Order: sequence, then structure tokens, then C-alpha cells
Amino acid sequence: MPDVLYFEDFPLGAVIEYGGMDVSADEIIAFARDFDPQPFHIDEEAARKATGGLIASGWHTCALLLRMNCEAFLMHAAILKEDRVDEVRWERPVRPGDRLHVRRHTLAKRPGEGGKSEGEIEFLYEVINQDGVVAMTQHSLLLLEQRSLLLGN
Amino acid sequence: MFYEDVRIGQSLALGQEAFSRESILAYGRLFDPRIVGQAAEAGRPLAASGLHVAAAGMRRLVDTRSSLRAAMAERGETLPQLGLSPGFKGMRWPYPVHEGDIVSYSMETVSKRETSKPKWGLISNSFRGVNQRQEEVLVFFSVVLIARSASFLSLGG
Repeated sequence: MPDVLYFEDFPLGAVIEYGGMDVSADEIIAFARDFDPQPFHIDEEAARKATGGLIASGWHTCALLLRMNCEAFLMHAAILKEDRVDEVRWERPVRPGDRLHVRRHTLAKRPGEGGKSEGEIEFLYEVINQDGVVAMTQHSLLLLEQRSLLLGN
Repeated sequence: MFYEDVRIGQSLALGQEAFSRESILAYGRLFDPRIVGQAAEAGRPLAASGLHVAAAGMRRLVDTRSSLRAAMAERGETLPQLGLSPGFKGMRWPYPVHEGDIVSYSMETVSKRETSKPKWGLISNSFRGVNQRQEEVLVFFSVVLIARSASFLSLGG
């Protein structure tokens, strides 16, 4: 892997998997106490009645995806801007004991026009549990530097 | 309160959140290691993770809803029944949030429609955060299911 990942280092259509994070009841409750203190995220008893047991806040699942993305590539990429998140869908609940990983699709690439050094990449991330069930999907756009323009090739 | 009572254009102030260096770093340690790297460089204010800015807004929403529900219960009104949110769309961060910034959150109903399930209606809200200089730091659209009053009819049957 190169030291720094540029626009060119994400081939169109590539599908790769990475990550692996265990989610505990304590972590679900701690996150929800800070950011989303609804009963089915913080109270086992209330959750049993409402959602068949404790479930993680969708914002927690987003945060876990961010962590896995940072470790897999965001920390090493020549990012100019995390432009936007087009869509997040919470497809299935994340529960205590789940182990999550990521499947990333490089959906579209748009090189900057007129000699601009940035290029835009559209990624689809699937957050998948230990049973192969997709718990969450996220479509988002990153602006990255292009190596070819940066190095003047 | 039911789906039928929700009006398009209705807006709700959700209160403020102050972003301290400690809270930005605490989120970073757990979910965004790039912030920990930033913190090591002296003389630069820390910028919060975009998802931290959004999650803090969710906290404001949950707290605002709880106090509204308490007030409605006191008046003897029917409390709204909300479903789990299926997600959000179009999240952008026009300006960054730095340590020391104070973000005011608000939400406005932009559309509503009935669903294939007679019990539920779907409400679409635009969610917004602005800093103390009135710069927009967060925008997104969320949807939520809310029970329709007609669902009471089916309880008799």
C-alpha cells in the first residue's frame, strides 16, 4: 500500500472488505447516554418490550463505521474534503455481542475538470454483522487529491 | 398528537450544545483517530468530527421531545407514537465546528405522506445547526414514522 492514498488509488467498481469491531451492551448504553438516550438504547428492561432487547443508536453505528474507515484508509488518504453523506439507511438493529465489518464499493469517480487537483469519489459502505446481515448502508462523497496532477505527470 | 396534527413548515428549536476541547477529543478517541492526531499539533483549535456534530444534535432532539411529552402529559393530551427512524439524507457540513463553538439546533417539517400501513404516516424534517456567528455547520433531512389517528378505529375491530 502506498504511504498516501490518492484519487487514483481507488479503482472504479472495486469492492473490498475490512474492519471487525465487537459491540458490547456497555458501549451501546454509554454512547446512547451521551447522544441518544431513548429507552430501547439505554434500558434493558424497556428495550425487551419495545425492540426485543437493547439495540444500538443508529448514530453509534455511523460512528463505528467512521472508526473502521479511519483505520482502513481515511487516516492515510489525501482528503481535501469529506463533502457530504447522501444517504444513511438503518436496515437492521445492531445488538450487544454483534461483530461488525465493512464492505466498501467504489461507485463513481469524477476527476476535477480544468486542471483542478481534486477528484470526487462516491462510496457505498455496507456495515455487516457476524451473520452476514447488512445492518446499515451509507452513501458518501469524498474529495481527494489526484496524484497525477499533484506530481505534474 | 397524531400524524394528522403535524403541519408543514412547523419548526422546533432544539437548544444549544457547546463543543469543548474535551468533548471533541472524547469523540475522537472512540471513533475518529484523526482528531487525536490533530490534538498533538500545538497551536491549532480542534475541529469536531462531522458525525459528532450530528449526534450532539440528536441528543438535543431527544431531550426536547422528552420535555414536550412531559408537558403534553400534564395537559392530558395524547402523546405522539413514533417509530424507529429508517435513516437520513443529504448531510452536509458547510462550516467546521471548532472547540469553543456553540451550535444551535433546529428542525422544520418539510413534507408528510401516508404510508402503505394504515397505522403510520411518514414525516420528513430538515435538521439544521448554526454556530454563534450564524454560520451553518450542519444540514440534513430525516424521516420518522408517526402514528395516525385513524389507527384508533382499528382498535375497536
